[in-house]
Amino acid sequence: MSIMNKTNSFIVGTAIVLLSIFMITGCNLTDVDEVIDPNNPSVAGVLNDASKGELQNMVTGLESRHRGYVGNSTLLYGSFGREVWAFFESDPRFTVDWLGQESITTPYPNFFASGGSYNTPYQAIKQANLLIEAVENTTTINESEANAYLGFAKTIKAFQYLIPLNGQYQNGIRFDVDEPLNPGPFLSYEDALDQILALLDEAYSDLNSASTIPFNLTDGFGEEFGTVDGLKQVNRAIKARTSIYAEDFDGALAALDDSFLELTAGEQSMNRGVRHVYGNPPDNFNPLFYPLDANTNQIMVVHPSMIEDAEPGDQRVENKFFERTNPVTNANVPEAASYQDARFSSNTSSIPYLRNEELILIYAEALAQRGQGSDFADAEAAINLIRTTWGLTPVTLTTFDEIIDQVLFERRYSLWAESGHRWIDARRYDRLDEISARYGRVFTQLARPVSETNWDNQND
Amino acid sequence: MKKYYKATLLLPLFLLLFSSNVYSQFTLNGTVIDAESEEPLFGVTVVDTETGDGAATDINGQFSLDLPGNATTLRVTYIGYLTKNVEVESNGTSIVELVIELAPDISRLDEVVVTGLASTVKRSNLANAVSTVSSKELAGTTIGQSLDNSLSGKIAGVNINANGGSPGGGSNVQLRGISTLGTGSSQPLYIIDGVYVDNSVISTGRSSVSGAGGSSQDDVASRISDINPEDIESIEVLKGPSAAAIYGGRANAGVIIINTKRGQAGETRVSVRQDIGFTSALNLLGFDEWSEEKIDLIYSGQRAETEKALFRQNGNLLDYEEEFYGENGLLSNTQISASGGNESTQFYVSAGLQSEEGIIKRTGFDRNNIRLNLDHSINKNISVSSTSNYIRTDSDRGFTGNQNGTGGSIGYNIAYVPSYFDLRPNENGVYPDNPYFAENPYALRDNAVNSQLVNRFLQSLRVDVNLYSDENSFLRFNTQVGLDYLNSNSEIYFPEFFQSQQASATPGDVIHGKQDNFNLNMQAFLVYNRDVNNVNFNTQIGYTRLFEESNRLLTRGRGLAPGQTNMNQAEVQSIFGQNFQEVSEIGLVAQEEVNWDDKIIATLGVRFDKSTLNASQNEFYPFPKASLALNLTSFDFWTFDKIGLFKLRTAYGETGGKAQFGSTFEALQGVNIGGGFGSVISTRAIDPDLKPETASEIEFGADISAFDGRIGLEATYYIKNVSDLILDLSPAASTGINAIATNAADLENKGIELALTASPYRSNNLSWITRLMYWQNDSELTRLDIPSFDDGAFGLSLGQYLFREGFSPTTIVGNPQDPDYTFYGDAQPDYQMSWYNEVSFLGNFELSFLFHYQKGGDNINLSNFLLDGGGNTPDWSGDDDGDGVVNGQDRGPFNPGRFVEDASYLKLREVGLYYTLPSEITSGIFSAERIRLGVSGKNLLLFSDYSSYDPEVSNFGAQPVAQSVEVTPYPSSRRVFFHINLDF
Repeated sequence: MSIMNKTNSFIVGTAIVLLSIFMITGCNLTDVDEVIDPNNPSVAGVLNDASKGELQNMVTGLESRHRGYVGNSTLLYGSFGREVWAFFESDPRFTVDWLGQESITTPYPNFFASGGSYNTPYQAIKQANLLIEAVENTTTINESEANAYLGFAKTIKAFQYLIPLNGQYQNGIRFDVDEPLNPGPFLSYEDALDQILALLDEAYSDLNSASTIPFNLTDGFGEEFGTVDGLKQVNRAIKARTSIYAEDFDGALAALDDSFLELTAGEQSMNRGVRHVYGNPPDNFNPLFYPLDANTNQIMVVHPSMIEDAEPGDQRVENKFFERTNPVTNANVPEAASYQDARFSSNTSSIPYLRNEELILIYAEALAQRGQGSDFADAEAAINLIRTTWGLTPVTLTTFDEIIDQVLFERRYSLWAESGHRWIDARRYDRLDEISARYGRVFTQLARPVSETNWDNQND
Repeated sequence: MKKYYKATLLLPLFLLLFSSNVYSQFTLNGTVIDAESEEPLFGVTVVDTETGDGAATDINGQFSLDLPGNATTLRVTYIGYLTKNVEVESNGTSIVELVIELAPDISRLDEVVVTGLASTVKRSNLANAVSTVSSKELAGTTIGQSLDNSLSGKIAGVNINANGGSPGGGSNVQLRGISTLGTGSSQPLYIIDGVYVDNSVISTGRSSVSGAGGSSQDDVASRISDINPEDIESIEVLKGPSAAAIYGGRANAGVIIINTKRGQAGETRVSVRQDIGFTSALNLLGFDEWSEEKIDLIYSGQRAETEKALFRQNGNLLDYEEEFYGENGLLSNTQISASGGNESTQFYVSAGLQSEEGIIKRTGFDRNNIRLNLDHSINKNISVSSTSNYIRTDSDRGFTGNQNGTGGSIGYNIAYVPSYFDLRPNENGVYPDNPYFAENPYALRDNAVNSQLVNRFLQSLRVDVNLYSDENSFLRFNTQVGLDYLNSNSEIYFPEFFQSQQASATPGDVIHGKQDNFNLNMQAFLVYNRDVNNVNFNTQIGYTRLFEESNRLLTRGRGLAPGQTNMNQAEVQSIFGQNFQEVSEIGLVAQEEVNWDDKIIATLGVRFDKSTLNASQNEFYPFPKASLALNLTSFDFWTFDKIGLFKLRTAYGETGGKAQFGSTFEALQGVNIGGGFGSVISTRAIDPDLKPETASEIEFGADISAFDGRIGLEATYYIKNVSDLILDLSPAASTGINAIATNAADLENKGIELALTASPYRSNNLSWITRLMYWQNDSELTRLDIPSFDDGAFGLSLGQYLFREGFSPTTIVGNPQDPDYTFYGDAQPDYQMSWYNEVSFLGNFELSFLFHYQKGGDNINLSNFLLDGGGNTPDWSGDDDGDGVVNGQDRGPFNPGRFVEDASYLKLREVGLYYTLPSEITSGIFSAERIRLGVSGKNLLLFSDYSSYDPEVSNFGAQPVAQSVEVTPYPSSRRVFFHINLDF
């Protein structure tokens, strides 16, 4: 065996070893290239230097999530406040449970069909948190643009917190819900409202530091409110609403000053505001639309007390309530309903969620509560703006009680079936007993969902 | 196979004689015989250890070698016999005659088994319970429908359940119980010649066209059925983490290592084999006959009168079960192979043509494949091996199983048709409408298309380099690259004239599927082996890498132009699904084996694996292993020589579970509002600390071989824990999430495996080998951190599987709930046994057969539910309890008690009788070396109380838990073959 051959083999052998090592290290030796979902955009993808296009998609996604609650809370809270009846014959629980009949003395946890007013708003909040986190982790936008995104997301987020809070009331809600495996504690009703107000202020200061809106919004905001100034006004309007819930009436007045409040009469002035939009597939249809006189026993109907208690000549009754040829009946309610919702002309009509009309009424209420100087007179003037718009004679109001009574009366008709204002208003003025219970009981609040109590039980 | 391993392991021992001192030489004429029966052995490999020159024995056991020099050592190897080294000397003569006796290796002690990724060990030193299946045991008796099918009953500890009788096979292979609850793959990892083989199930969309539901009801076989069992030399099964730990993160469900045949030095050997046979249904039920009384029990009023009138006209005209399942399918298999080579290059070439018809018309399975295996020694230190295999399979599996609204399952359909209604097409080929169900079954059988064509290419390349060697040690480098590329084209088609399609707004439905899968794996190892006194140290460190890529597109066309299936001819054209997948994995391996004089053999090793399938894509997870084998017979104190081997062994190992692609991604879903496209975060999340599922196993066993290897016993007890199973947790609703994938459960499998092999009688005229196996497994969920739930199958009134701490996850429960569920059984069997026998008699005859017994195991049989509704159950008209109500209407309350049945069975899985023509005759015909004729059968007999076609059935395919549901499946069949085998 010659030395040459042995050396040859060794050289060739080493060459093969080295070649293999080169082949391996051509790729990274110990690191794999992380695989991102090739089939869907991923959370990980957008939390890591999201592009403007991805941020836009998340904004549109937030608008989509933002409208998820409206059908359910209008029906559920509206049933509690006896604004509407949910005459859906397919399931008796829409009347038996929702009206508090038979053994349903108080809502049980995971109350029938209440998820749309609890789970759905929290999904919107989750989407807002996603957008916020994406904005905070990207380098593709500058600071002014980032503030625009943040201001928008936080405004919508604050709005959405109110929906479950209105349902849970004294149960309180969780506010800090960023981490699915580590949700924050329950805050009391008052503390939650304080947090929401703080969030709105934070959003407002973000918007103040933004120069333009670098993203597109739907017609729900439109040309008027789809700008930095417009969003700021919307933010203040939400703050005004929240402030009167928190009984911070000075704060409400201050917020109204910077909102889109307009003290003019007229239908157009009343209806100025922001709305949820709908469309043909692949978009969603308006969940509250029913063809007029539709021959069906699955429909939302106007509560008869709305007709009975109305003042003659009220244009709001004429505009919003349609008298059917054939009344709708329900097995669990001894009375038939003759009127249905007339506000929407088609299944792609938009649903407003915050209008100038409400701001005028908040103005009147806050002034009455402040009660300084000419406040009572200004409140009376504001209320009469509403009344003259809708063809009613102006009233004279001199005392606090008179003004509040009138505000509540006007709110009942002006804000009918807009996510349950009547129930919330009556509750905050301790007047739930004034609502005619027919035919059942008027609840004060919903029960805390099972998943929440389970989570605390398992993790404490 | 032995030659291949010899070439790589003993490379340093080869010394090429360059200098030509070959002036002296001698010729050796030898005969190799069985030491006990003295029968000559055909095909024994005899190699000169000095030159590498080799030869194989002929039909008379004779060989001839020209050897240089005056003396040398011959190494004589033959499967099933102990390897022997024989020293020969010329003693000055130029021709030497020699008779070599080989002792049978019943307990396969000499067999070489893979332990590390780059090393092997003799079975007698092995500390794990690794089962091997030789090519004779796999395909020597008869031909199965697919590879996994051919393994049924041959490995202790492994449950193989065929999903149904569709041509092309398809089974659920479970090693040592349950390895996952459904996240990733529940099937073992298959490695063929170093290639990590794609064993995925490629969905065709059949369950959408037929309405059955999700893709698990597509009835597609997994891709291991592409592999031709004829090419396989040996299979090693690493049944649990204690043996498979070295395969790291993919090995929770075990590893099956397959080696294909390789060439042998010497004259080129050509082998031709032709098998021809037929298949027929194994166990037809026999639908109940009809009568006017029966019609009155089912129908009333005017309808009853119409039915009775028809019955009076036709009588019991057609047995629909016989009409559809009564075909005899033709089976044909042709295999040609050639093997040969010289001392530096060996080759094995083979081609296979297989064509099988099913027992339903227009169903069948074709496989064509060609293979080239090459081994080449570049010089004495470097050798290269290449394996190339091209396969083309074509499956037509028909329409059976579940359906919804389309009548798109023959079994479901005919369950409702009475014998007196004639659904056959008329002389113009027009199919009458079926008034009893949504489709005419003849139209479905004769015109619907369910086909899947797969082209596949496997290639592996291996280089072994001997870097250094001296008399006490060697250092070797080994690298291996494997590639598996497959392309699948599938079509599911219901023509527009179908009765069910005419009822739709868009008649005619077609789904075209196209999928490309590409797998690439490589590994590089350094092995250092050193002898110190009589202790041998074998150290290996290595690096592995895996890359997988998959691309799937399914398109659907509805409202088709008559007779057209092109998407352009459809009114509604849609994308049915598109899916991309990509996986990368890296493994780092280190292992140390210490062997003290074959007395004590200890191994310690660890593998670090990272995979992009895990939530933490760049995190290494460790999988350690340790084992100890004690060969008591090697010690000096062992004097009881009746027992040749008494080995105690224990082993521990950990492996990981392959997660499902996509389950770790939090995807954004698409929504639409106001004309704009939005991305919203899903309501599903994953735990940020999500870990992969892992399994850890400890096993204890003993291997005993006595009476010169005539009796061998292998016994193993194992405890396999699968931990951190991934399940959904429901968080607080205010998080905006309604399910979080989290590590929520632990599962424990405990079992026993026993295998007794004996060769009770061995002589020239009669020899008999028998093997009896027993295995059992018990599973229990030992931890469940989320609330208990039930899942799988079709709901609590029909039977579902329970996930609750303290219970087996395959427990079947259902209504009534008062308040807890009623418990009905367990899908896993109590135990299984198999009995294999090989008898050679009268010199040239060989008989082998395999019985397989399963005790226990419960199925959810929903076929009878449908047959009862249609009045066709075999016992429908009887009245077993004599209460005046016929059985078909007297089944009792509507709960799983009616549907859950014991699936115990005894099957005669394989029988074969072969005759080797005497050598005087063969040498005249075709100048063949050997001619063998045979007749064999598969699935010939079934003994069971199960009331449907076959207790081995699964409507949902290879599921880890929901594995035993049946809905009018493709009936299983028996196969009978005639064989002729010519060796040249």
